[in-house]
Amino acid sequence: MLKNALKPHYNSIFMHMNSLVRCGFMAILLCSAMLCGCAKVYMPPVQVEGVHPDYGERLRVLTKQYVVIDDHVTLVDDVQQSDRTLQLQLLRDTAGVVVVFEMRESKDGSLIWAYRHIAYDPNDFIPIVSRVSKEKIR
Amino acid sequence: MKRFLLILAMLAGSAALYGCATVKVEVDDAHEGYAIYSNGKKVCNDSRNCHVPVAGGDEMYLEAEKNGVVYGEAVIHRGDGGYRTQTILHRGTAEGATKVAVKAVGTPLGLAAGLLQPLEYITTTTEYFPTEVMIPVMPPESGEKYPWDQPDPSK
Repeated sequence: MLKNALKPHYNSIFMHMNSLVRCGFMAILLCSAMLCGCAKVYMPPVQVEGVHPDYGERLRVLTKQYVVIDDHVTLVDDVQQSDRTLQLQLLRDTAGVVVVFEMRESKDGSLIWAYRHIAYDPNDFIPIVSRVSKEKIR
Repeated sequence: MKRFLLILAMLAGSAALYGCATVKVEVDDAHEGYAIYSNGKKVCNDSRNCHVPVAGGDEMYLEAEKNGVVYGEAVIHRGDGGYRTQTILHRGTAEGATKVAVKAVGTPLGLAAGLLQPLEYITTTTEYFPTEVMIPVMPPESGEKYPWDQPDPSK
């Protein structure tokens, strides 16, 4: 008799605990996201000037690979979902090509940082991208 | 008490010497000056007269920049047994074990530590570092310029 009377009471405790666990889990997720502070970054196609678009694509693919490995930011496919935009450029120079990295706020387009490095042939992309991904892309 | 004061004086002396320890940084372009960055911070406006303070840590990343573009860099990796200078774009590595600038730091620190620690600690606190570093900034001499306007042959 008493057992049956307590059953609804236990059920309500379990339900409360369930919702508490859920809330706790959500709070942990939220806190970890806040602590991580990983910016969502959108990478538009590479702008090229005096350079064949193939090299723009090569630079973009390489940068994506390094950014994923270093894991400081999250890449997104839509600019609307992003906090920041990483614009890459390849500009022809007398000696070679200037590889430009520009990180901007997606909201207002304000510049956060920029890095420009000379490349004499496409094999130079790897050390440049490696350095930028490790040290700059946040 | 005297011993404590002696250690304190040696540590202060080594700290002062540490501030003086520098690396002369040059570029291989005799005609123009480049701004020099050490671990991302600008340390010289002109590479023709550049003495960079020795950075803490195991690595010193030096970059030569002109008109906002980085034209070359050299990375100094240091360890107990020597140092290694690596250039990135030109892919060269030079190794050495000349105890110069940092020897002045290592010795007083080592002596101070030696009063408290076993003798081998003295040798491990002595660090190695080059006194001069040349950053290559000139384009490669061999061969023609890369045909950037042509499709990528590796594709």
